[in-house]
This record gives sequence, structure tokens and C-alpha cells, in this order.
Amino acid sequence: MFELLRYGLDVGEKLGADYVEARFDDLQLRTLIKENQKIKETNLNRRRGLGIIAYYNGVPGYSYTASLKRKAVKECTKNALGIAKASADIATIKLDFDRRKKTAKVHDLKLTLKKHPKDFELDYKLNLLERIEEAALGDVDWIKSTRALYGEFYGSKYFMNTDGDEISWEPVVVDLRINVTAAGTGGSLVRGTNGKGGSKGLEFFEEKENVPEVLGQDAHKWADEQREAKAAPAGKFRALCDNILCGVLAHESFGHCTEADFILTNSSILKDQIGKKIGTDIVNIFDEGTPDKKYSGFWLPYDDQGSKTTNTVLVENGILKSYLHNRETAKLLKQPVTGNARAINYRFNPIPRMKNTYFGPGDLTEEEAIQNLKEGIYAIQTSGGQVDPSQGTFLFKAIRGYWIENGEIKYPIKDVTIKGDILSLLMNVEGLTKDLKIQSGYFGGCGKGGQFPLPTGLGSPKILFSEATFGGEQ
Amino acid sequence: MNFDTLKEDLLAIADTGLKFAKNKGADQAEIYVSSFHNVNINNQAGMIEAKDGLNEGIGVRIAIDKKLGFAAMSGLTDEAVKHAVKEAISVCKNVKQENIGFESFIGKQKPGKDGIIDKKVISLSTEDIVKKTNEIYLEAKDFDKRIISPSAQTQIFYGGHAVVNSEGMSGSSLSTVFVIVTFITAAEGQKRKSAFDFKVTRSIPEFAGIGANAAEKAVKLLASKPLGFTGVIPTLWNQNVMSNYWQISLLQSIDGRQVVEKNSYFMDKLGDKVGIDTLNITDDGQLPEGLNTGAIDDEGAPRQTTSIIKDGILRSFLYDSYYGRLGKAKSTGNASRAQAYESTPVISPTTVVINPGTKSFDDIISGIDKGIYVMDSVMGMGHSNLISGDFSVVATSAYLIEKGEIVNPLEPIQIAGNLYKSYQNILEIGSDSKLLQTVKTPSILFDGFTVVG
Repeated sequence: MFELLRYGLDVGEKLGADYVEARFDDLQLRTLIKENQKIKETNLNRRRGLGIIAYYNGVPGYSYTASLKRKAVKECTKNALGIAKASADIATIKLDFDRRKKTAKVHDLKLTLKKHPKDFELDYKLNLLERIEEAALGDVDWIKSTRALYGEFYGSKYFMNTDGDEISWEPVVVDLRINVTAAGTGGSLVRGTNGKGGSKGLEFFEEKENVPEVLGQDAHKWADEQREAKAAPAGKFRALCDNILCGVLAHESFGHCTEADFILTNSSILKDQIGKKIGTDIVNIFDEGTPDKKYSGFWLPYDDQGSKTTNTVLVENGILKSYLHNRETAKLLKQPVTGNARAINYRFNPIPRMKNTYFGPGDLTEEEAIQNLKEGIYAIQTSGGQVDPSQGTFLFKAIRGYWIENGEIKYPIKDVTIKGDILSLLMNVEGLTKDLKIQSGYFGGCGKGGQFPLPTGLGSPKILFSEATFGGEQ
Repeated sequence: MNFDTLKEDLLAIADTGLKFAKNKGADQAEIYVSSFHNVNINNQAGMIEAKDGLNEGIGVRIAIDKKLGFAAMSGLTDEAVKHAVKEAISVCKNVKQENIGFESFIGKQKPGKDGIIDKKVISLSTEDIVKKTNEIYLEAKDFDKRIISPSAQTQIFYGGHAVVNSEGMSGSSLSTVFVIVTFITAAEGQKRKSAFDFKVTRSIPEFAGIGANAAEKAVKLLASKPLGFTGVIPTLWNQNVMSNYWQISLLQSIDGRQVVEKNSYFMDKLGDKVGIDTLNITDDGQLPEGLNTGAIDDEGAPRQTTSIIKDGILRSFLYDSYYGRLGKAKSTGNASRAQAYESTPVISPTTVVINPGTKSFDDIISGIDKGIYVMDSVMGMGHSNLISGDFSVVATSAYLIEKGEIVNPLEPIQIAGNLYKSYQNILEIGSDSKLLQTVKTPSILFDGFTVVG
């Protein structure tokens, strides 16, 4: 494959490009869905193709093809350069960067997995769905519907540029999820949801906290609890948010604001904030390419510009330290390259995207956090939300939670909206628990620039906020 | 592939796949192939991201003894066709459980008509489009010095798809599409306001005005003031924000799958009065300018015009063949594949057309004593309760209307109400219809929503 990519580079240089990158992806995606114990989807999708970026006067152009013929690669390179030339006359932000002095030659880099999903038959995976669904159903009459999902993603990625980098590696993700819809008291519908995923082999679902039975039973238990839950009060309260909700906040409400393309285009509230205090002393936020194996993040050793990924410290002791860069934005903003240039597949050019974004842990246990909360809302899990990085505003829906009084759990509450702006929220961080969790997966993921869903990891301990805004529901 | 012979070329490839599937022992097979040339240009504050490419591939559904398998691969080479067929068969053979809803793929039917095909779209080079996008960008950027982050995006695609299956269905459809989006942020002191505008068409659009329009909206919002009022007053929602409103309040609940699975508010309301007498809504898969208009849908059924609400009465839901069978209704030609060859068909509206009324936007405003103009977007619509219909959103770009005039922009306000009751509380349907991605709607004036600000 490197030979074909080399051909693209040669064509580009001959035609007068200043710099050329060639990428090839061959990725397999499998989606299995069961609904109400019936098979709904058994899909397999192979995305194979290549993309060429040509730079001219500090401006890139991108073109892609699914054909692996030399003629198509040549055409693709010509188009990329044509686009770069047309854009170069117009672009007011030039995206030039320094040539790499030290290049990498890394072939077939991969994780060691006991049970790589490619070596296992469909049966094995359908069985995981059966087990999680059965556990979620239990033996009750109040469950209205169940939906179980299994997803896997693996393959190979090749990268080459005219600096001399030559990298190939094999991404992998597995993911198992369950959603339960149940009839609540008073005719309302409530839900329970659970799932685990990451750059793991199928042995991941043999670990005791990840076996399908445990995942399914928890979803069942949480749905049951929701049946009797009361509506959460609206307004400003002290709050504790769980690992998953805070992980999504780390990614959606904070992480996107640190992406350097948003900084350069005045689209982020964090522009000109480097070195400034944006959170309390105990706030630390990281974006890491290859988190420790004890977590289940997304394993990303190199980005799609061939940069080795780093563990980027975004916030240290409440002070903003760095943005997330590709090679161009790093040069423009005079910061180190962080390895955040990512593209979901060959049909997309890499743009600054997150790797695994997470809040660093603190020193509290969950019990201590609840005690310290005294009175307020404990918000758990999320079904998503909306953010505006230019204003730092966000709105998320927590799936469930508890009302806390006198430092004790009083009663379960229904799904509740948490909203506000991220900078105020970071200034309200009063404590963090010890139990950092990092997760990634096949379902969901990041959708920036129409590239959905790109696997990214996100994580957090539980975070205690002195104040957060909830509600709006009747 | 040459656009002029694209239909024939795609059908020939699909036929090869079907023959191969039969040879490999597949009882029932469906081959979907698509080829779309894509151009995406994004000029964000002077940083240009531009690309083009050919997105083509094959998606194969195989049924053996009612067990279904699907596999897809990028590319339209012989290798891709054979790979997808073999993998789909292998999935089928590994699945132990029948798909109870499945009987067969659809049979041969008379196709509908393709929408507007404008070959001028095809004649534009990517370089031309880079330059056109810059014109829109400059218009927005130069509008006012308070514009801090202007952007213009264009997206073009042209090409087509073909479907053939073992039941004798064989058809194809072509389209040309041009989309422009501008998103603008303006700032004054610590205040930041954003606005957008967009245009969707199947031909070459008029470029002038779209950048300036969005820029003007963003700048005007900088003068926002708190509302300082809580109560029930009329709210006038423009086309952009109505597109989102119909999506949540109507389109999810008329989806045949949601009806069959009993998740739809409207499921038992066919023949009921659900809206005011002048509310007329169709799903028009034959609207010449509609983006999803075509001769066939994504499983080969003819695209058609379906009456959803007539004179305020609910008339029909939208179906593909699978849920049509389960819901004892016919396919309404609404099968659609979200990612072309990479996806299996699901039910999706084509262009939902809300029949316009007679009053212009200005006439409606002049009849409002005290009300709110809700412009472009609201936050939180997606979190509405689809069972009860209760919703609560934050409107970030709204205006106060007093004594028949738009007075001033507002700081974010909250608007709450009930989606389903709102169709009975429509005071005016505007005459200002605008075509959007899946909706063609005028502005709508509602009564009965609670406003807090």
C-alpha cells in the first residue's frame, strides 16, 4: 500500500505542491441490533479508499477516491492541488507549518488483544446481545421495550507524507449497550440505559464489571428506580454529577472550546485565555492519545497527519495550558503539536478533534462527595445535549439522579436538564472523587464537521459543584 | 462515471451483483449502488477547508429463509460487488433467527419522476465553487466591523443510485444538489451573538444576499434586552425554526415505524381533527425542487405525494415496504438510506410541504399587539416529551413584538407549551414558504405558549 501512496506523493511534488500527504483506510464496521429479543440489524460495512492533501502557499486542498488504481490516485492528487491553488489566492489564514526534522517509520502498530473481534464469528457477538437483553428484561411485566446494540470497528490505516513519515496502525473498538423503556407510575415512560466500550478485545466483556449480565441488570435496576422517581426541582442547586455526565461535559462543553480551529476563527470562548485561571485550583483536564490500559479509552497512537499523540494538559490547577492542535494551528499559535488532527475515514480531511478528554481525579469517595453536597441534585448519565463553543453555553439532559438532603440520598429523581456556561461551571468545582473512568465506543462519538461518529474517549471522576442550574421542565 | 450514462452504468453494476448473488445461492437479494460526486467548501473566518471526491459503493441485502443480512463496501469495482454479496450471504447463514416482519423485497412498480436536474451544477469545477463561496463569505465579513467570525459553507453533490432485486424491481434516480450555509458571530464588548442562514436548491442558487442577511441578523441581536415578562402571548416562528418544530412535533410521530411500534402520539388518531381547518400538510416526493425528490426511493418504490393532514384532519403516516406490511398499509415511497450504500433503508420524509396561507410576514406582525418573534433556532427542542407533547426551549435569537412592530431583540427567553395542542392553536399560517432540507414551510403564529424572560 505504501507504494501506491508514494506514487500520489510523487505526482503531487512533480505538479508543484509544496507538501503532500497521502492516507489509506481499510476499515470494517459491524452493527448488530436486537429489539425486543428480535434481530433488527446485522450490518457490515467496509470503508476502503484513499485521500490526498496537497499544500500550496500554506493552503491545503483535499480529494479522495475509493479506487485503488494509479490513474484514480493521479486524478485525486491533481484535484487536491487544484483546490489548494484556488484557495491559496483567497485564504486569509495561512496554514503553513515547519517540515518535520525527525520522521517516523512505524509499520503495523497494534494493540495486543486476547480476543480480537475479527477472529470471532457472528454467533459469539449475537450471544452477547442475547445475554445483555435477557438480564435487562428480568422477570417483570413493566418493561415495555428493550434495545440491545453491539458494534465493532477495526481495520488498518496507512499514512505517508513528503517529510518522510511512513506509518501504519490498526485501530479497534468494541461496544455493547442496552436501553430499556418501562412504564412508570402515572403512565409516563421511563428508561434505563447502560453500556461499555473501548479499544479492547472481546475479553473485555468477560471482566466482572463488564459482563453482559451485569450491564443488563444495572439497566433494569435503574429503569425500575425511575418508575417511582419524582420530578427534579428547577433552579440553582449544589450538585454532584457522575462520571459519564462529567465526561460528556469534558468533551462537549469544554473540549470543543479548546480545538484550535475554533480558536483561530474566533469561535471559542477560550480564545486568548491561555495562562488564565478558568477553574478552581483542583480542576485538571487532559486530552490523551493512549490512556492507560486499565481504562477503556480509544487507542490513538498517531493522528491523521502522522503526528505521535501526546497526553496534552489542557487545564492544570485551574489554569488553561494548551489548545488541541494539528501541525498548522500549533505553528500559528506557537504551541507544541498535540496530535489532534483526525479524520473519520478517507472521505474526510483531518481537522482538530479530541483524543480522550477527561477531568483528572480528586481525593473524595462517592460517600464523602454526597456528604459534602449536603443538599442538592446528584445527576447521573446523559442522553446528550447542545453546546455553543463561541459562547461556552451548554444544555444537557441527565437520564436519572437523586435528591440529596442532609448529605444523604433522599429519593430518585427523573431526567433533568443541566444548563449554563462552562466557565462558570469550572469555577464552581468544589471537589472530585478518586474514581476516574474513561470510556469510548462505537455508538455515539463525536460529530464535528459532519464527521460522525468519530471514536473519541471521554472521562471523569464524579464532580461536586457549588452551584449548577437545573430544570425548565414542568 | 459520465453523468449522462450514469443510470445505465449503475444498473449494469447492480445487475452483475444480482446475478452473482443468485449464483451463490441467495433466494432473495437486493442490490443498491450509488455514485455521488461531492464538493465541500468551508471558509471559516478566512481559513479554507476544501475538498472533493467521488463517494460510490454498493450495499447488498440478502434474505435466505427470512433471515436477513446486509453488507456494504466502498467502490464500484467487481471486487467490491463480490465482497459485499459474499459477506451479506455469510451474515445470513450465521443468523439463527428469522426476521418476522420480512416477506420479500418489493416487486416491479411504475416509477415516479425525478426532480430538477441542473447540469450547470455539474459543469462547475471545485475551483469555481471555492471562489463562489468566498463571495458569500466576503459579503458577510464586510457587512459590519462587529462581525468577528464569519463563515460560508457550500456543499454540492450530484449523481444517482440504482436498485435491483430478485423480485424484478429495477430502477434508478439522479439528482443535483446545492446547499449554502452561513454562520456568523458578532461581538460588542463581552456580548456575543450568532446567526445563520441557508439555502437549499437543486440548481445554481443566487449567491448575493445570503451572507449579508445572516450578518445583519447577528449584528442586530447585539442590542438584545431582557424581556422582563412571564405569561402566555402569541409567538411567531420563522421558517428556519419551524423546520425544527415540524421535525420534532410531526415527523417523528408520522413515521410508520413509530406507529407500528406504538411509540407515536398520532398512532390511533387517523381521521381525527388534529389541527386548525386551514392546516394542510403533504409529504411530497415529487416536488420538483425538493432535495429528496426522485423517481424511486432507496428500496425502489416510486416516490409519491402523500397527504398527511388535510383540512386539519390526520390522513396518513409514512411507510417503507417493511413497516407498511406490518402496519397493513402500502409503502408511501419513503424508504431512505442515511448514508447511501452504507445503510439499510429506514423511513424518512422527502419534503414535507406545509401549505402556505395568504398573509405576508409583515402583515402577520402588524396584527400582533404583544408577542414574540422566534427567529432561526431554539435550544432543547430535541428533548421534548414526545409522549405528552410538552416542550420547553430556550430561544437565543428572539424579538419582542409590540403594537404591530418588531421592537427589540431579546436576551435568551424560555418558551414552553405542548407540541400536539399547538396545531389547534395556530393563529396564522404565513405566505412566505421556504424550502429547507426536508421541509417546505412558511412562518407560523402560535397562541398558547408560555414565555418566560
